[in-house]
Amino acid sequence: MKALADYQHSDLVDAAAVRSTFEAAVKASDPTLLVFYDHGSEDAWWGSDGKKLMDYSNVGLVSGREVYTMACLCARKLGAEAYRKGCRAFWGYTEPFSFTTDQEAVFGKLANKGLLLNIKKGKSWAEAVESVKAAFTDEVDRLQKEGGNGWAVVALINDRDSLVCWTSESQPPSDCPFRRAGINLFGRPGQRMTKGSAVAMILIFTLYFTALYGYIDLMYSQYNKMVLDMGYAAFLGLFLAEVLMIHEYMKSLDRK
Amino acid sequence: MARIQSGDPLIDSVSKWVERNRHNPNFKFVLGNRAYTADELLDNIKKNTPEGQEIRKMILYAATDMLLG
Repeated sequence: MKALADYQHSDLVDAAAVRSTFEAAVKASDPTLLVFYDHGSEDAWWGSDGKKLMDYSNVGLVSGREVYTMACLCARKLGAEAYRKGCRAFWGYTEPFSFTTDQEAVFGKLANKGLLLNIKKGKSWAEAVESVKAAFTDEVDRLQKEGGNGWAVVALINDRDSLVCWTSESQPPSDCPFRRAGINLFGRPGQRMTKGSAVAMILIFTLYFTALYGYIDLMYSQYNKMVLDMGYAAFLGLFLAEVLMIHEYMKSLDRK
Repeated sequence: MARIQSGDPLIDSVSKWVERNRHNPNFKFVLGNRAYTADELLDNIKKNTPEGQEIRKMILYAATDMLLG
């Protein structure tokens, strides 16, 4: 079996774990998977210099790649944004990661288990999430049977339930009503719609139907009955063109 | 039934746990980028600091999950 160290990889540790080095390394080595073990917050990963290593402004770097991290909280917003920017899978936690020092080895094993299941056992991220959550529950049961430390149980349950992996099978939720509507209408590509494109679509269809109503009203008042006219064909063509344009735009978002 | 001393059953339970576990000075509860000793956990919960509120929320979440989950 191939050891993890045998995989082609680049390590950024200590002084190298800063934004500029990280960005240069990702561009140079073009990795398929990024693994990050350091501090996180809702909207960022933090580098060893105490500054943001990755945030919304450079999260596009993970587009087309997979991400595995145990950094606190970052799956909540940064991970969701990464997914919307084209990240294929973002493994992380939506709450602070917690553990107790008397069970450190157990927590360490669980924190790495998903990565090993995916890389070494070939499990999908969805299967790995399920297995890791089950392993957390097994440890809770073991500690309870053994009368173990209650704080470890608290940490295990909270870690288990804040673990997520954003993929096309398990997409991040959104607070934005426009994005929610986009997801309901278009599925995965709806996650990646920009606010500007959503507003433009609403405007296009509102103005289209306003113009159509005005045209029908004009034609009816002129002839006092519905008559066929080239204008209707133009409106139909315009409608089909708009639908086709939106369809192609959504397809392009899905390919990212 | 144990007598409630502080009016807050969670604080009383944590206080008892801290008393029982003083012999284990190596214990720390790590939450994010901070590690808490048993006394610090109790202190933060008692003072209702933001960290204490977070820890309280975690305990209640885990307890609810164990009882009703």
